[in-house]
Amino acid sequence: MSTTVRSSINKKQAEVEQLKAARDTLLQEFQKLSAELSIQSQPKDVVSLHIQRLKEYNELRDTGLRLTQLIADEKRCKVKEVFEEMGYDMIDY
Amino acid sequence: MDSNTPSKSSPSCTPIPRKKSVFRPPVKSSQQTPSTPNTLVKTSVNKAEKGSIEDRKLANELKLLNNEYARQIHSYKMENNQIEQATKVLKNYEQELKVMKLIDKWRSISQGGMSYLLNSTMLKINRIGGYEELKRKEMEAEKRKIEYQMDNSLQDEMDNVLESEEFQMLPEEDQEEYKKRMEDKMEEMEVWKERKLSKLEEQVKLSANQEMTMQELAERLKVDYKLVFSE
Repeated sequence: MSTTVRSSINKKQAEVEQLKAARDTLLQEFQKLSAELSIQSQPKDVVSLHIQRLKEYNELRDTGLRLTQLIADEKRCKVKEVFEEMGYDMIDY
Repeated sequence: MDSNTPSKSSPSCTPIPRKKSVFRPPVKSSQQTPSTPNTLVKTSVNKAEKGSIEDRKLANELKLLNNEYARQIHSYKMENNQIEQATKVLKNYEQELKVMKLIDKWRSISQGGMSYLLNSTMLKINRIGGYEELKRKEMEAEKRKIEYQMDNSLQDEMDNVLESEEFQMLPEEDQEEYKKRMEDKMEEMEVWKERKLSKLEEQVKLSANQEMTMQELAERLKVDYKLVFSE
C-alpha cells in the first residue's frame, strides 16, 4: 500500500516537473508571437476575445441574412439582388 | 576486645541469610507470574497501537501529497492547453483579422437592412394614417382580444356550475353564497379589464406626434439592437 502510493507520488511529481517545463516553453513561444503582432493580452484574454468575435460574427450574419430576406420578400426579388444593391457579397470568402 | 568482636559477628551473620532465603522465593514468583503476561500484552498492544497510528498518519500524509500533485497536474494541463489555444490564434492571426472584417461587413449589412425596413415601415404607417393611428389600431385589436378572453371563459365557467346537478342539490343558502362569490369575481375582472383598457388608451395618447423608432422596430423584429448598433 505505502509502496504503491509512493510510486504514484513519484510518478506524479515527475509529471508536474515535465508540465512545468512544457508551460515555460509554450509561454516563450506565445510571448514571441505576441511581440511580433504587437499584442499585449494574456493567453486567456486572447482565447476569450477570439471566441467572442466568432460569436459576434455568427449573430450578425444571422441577423443580416434574416433582414435581407425580409427586404427581398417585401420587394419581391431575390436575396442576392438585395446584397448586390447594398454592395456586398452574400458569401463570405 | 578483638577476640570478642569476631565472636559476636559470626553468630549475627547466620540469621540474615536465612531470612532472605525465606522471603525471596514467594516475592519473585508472585512478581513474575502476573507481570509477565501483562507486560507482554501491554508491550504488544503498545507496539501495535504505535505502529498502526504511525502507519495511518503516514498513509494520510502520502494521500494528501498524492492529491496535491494530482491537482497541480490538472492545473498545469489547463494552463498549457490555454496557452496552446492562444498561440494557435496568434499563429493564424490573419484569420482573426478576417473575422473582424466580416464582423464589420455583417454589421453594415444589418444596419443597412434595418434602415431600409424602418423607411418602408414608416411609409406604410403614413399610408394608414400615421403612427398614432397604428397604435390605435393595435390597441383596438388588443381590446378585442381581452374582451374575448374574459367574456367567454369566466361566464361559461359560471354557467356550467349553475346548471350542474350538484349545484341544484345544494341548500338555498349555499347556492346564494356561491352566486355572490361568482358575481364578486366578475366585478373584479371587470375592474381589471377597465384598468387595462385605460392603460392602452394612455399609450395611444402618448404616441401622438411620435414616429416609429429604430429601437421599437428592432424590438418588433426581434433584432438585438445593441448588437447591430454597437458602434
